[in-house]
Amino acid sequence: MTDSAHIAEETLERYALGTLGDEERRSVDEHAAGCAPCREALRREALLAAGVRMAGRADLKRSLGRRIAALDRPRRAWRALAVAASLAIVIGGGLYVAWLEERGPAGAVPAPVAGNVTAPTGSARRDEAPQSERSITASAPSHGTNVSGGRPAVKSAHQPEDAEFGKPREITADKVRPLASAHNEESGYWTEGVVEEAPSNAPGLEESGAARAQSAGAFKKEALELKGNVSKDDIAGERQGFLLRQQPAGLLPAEAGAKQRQHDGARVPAHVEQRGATTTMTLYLDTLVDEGVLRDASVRQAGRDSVIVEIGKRKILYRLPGGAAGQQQNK
Amino acid sequence: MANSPPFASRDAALLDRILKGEEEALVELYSENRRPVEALVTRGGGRREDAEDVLQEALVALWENVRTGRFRLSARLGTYIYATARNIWLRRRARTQREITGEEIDPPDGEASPLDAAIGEEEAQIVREALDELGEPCRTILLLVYWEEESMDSIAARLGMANADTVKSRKYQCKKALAALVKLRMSRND
Repeated sequence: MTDSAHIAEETLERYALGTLGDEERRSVDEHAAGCAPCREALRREALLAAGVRMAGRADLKRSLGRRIAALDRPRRAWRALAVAASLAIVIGGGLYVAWLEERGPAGAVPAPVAGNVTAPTGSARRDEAPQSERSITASAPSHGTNVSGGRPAVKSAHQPEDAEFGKPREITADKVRPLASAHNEESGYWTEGVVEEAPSNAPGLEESGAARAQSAGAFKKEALELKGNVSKDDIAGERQGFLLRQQPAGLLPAEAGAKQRQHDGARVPAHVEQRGATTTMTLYLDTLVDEGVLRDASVRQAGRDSVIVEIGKRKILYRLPGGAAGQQQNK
Repeated sequence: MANSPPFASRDAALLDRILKGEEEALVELYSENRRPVEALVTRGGGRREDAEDVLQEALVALWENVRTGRFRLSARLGTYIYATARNIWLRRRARTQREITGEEIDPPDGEASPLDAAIGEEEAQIVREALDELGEPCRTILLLVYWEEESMDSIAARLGMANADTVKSRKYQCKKALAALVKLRMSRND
């Protein structure tokens, strides 16, 4: 029963979820028809369900958008490459025409020009080749490195010793990262976890000598970086690596809202970065844990955008709206 | 099912994957349905980005309907997705037109459940914002209850809680806290 209604909490919930049977639903409707507080309770429950579902839809849409963006990245890189190639052809063509005009009437054009266009083979001839020819050569869509500028393709066209040359399709997500959105992905985001369990006598949380020193204020400036040992049902799964790091909470930057933190150990801020297939999560702990504890830490998925980090005896629930958790399967 | 058309088994397999919570199935459906939806939206004066957004929303609606048991496959999945995307697009256009001209146009039928439809979008938005403010673990618990529609036992296992009763008790506290936040936000808006 709720405070104000005669309908059981669970029934209200199932009514809102639409999982009541016809008979039960009719019975609730009949009762609510003559019970104002019950109607209000039903409406409250429906509103709550609608709002939570709206959040669920938004989470899923965000997660889907991330997957689609990852899917589109190579396609967009090729599109950018095609545009760059077209531009190079147009500009190169223009320069070539300008160069021809500068050289005077057609009869005055020396033979080597025609030779350059049809058979640019010898090194001496190559050196003589006008800029326009270089541009045209550089614009060939098979030279992936031309995305970031015209020069590298010229180099690769004439320097076969270049290891990159001959691998024109190696346009990876990394190579298109100068895009603003990719920069944002790289910079990561802050999140705050809620400690679910933290027994005071947890052996895994006993301070090491180093940690004690750091607790006393002698913070080590470098991050203690250790590879988290991810459990078998972790969110890293087959597709992603997961790297856990720890930093003393004292080094929490202001941008992470350090002043808003509750210093009761109930919340643990973290910085999350997604780099390629690896999610790096840096926990800002009031007390650093031993190396072994960090190595034994595990990460597993809780909800669509949530993961549980188990470190020592602590279970910390994090929401990762910016990545990682949302890219995993639900069940 | 030997006589069933080839698309039926594939559609059924995709629906089964959605039911299991495989978002990758949505990505496949996105790739397959991108062109027709893009054509629909751009023909109607929209941009490619609008088409992407509309299709994503249609896929989210499909996901929700499949996982809550409201979905019945009566046509090809692609046809269903196209029809849903079309409804979403027309509704958006109608809303934009209303905003621009002040003209009242009946929006086309949407995909929202009757209960959701009974609740104003603005009110639901307030709850959504309050849910974000509520933070963890309440946000996850309530999402697992109302969006994922998980059982208490399953939530207990996923969140590492002792048992279903622990989840029930936490859920009750979370709902109370959420209701209080919603009330506060609504009173501010009045």
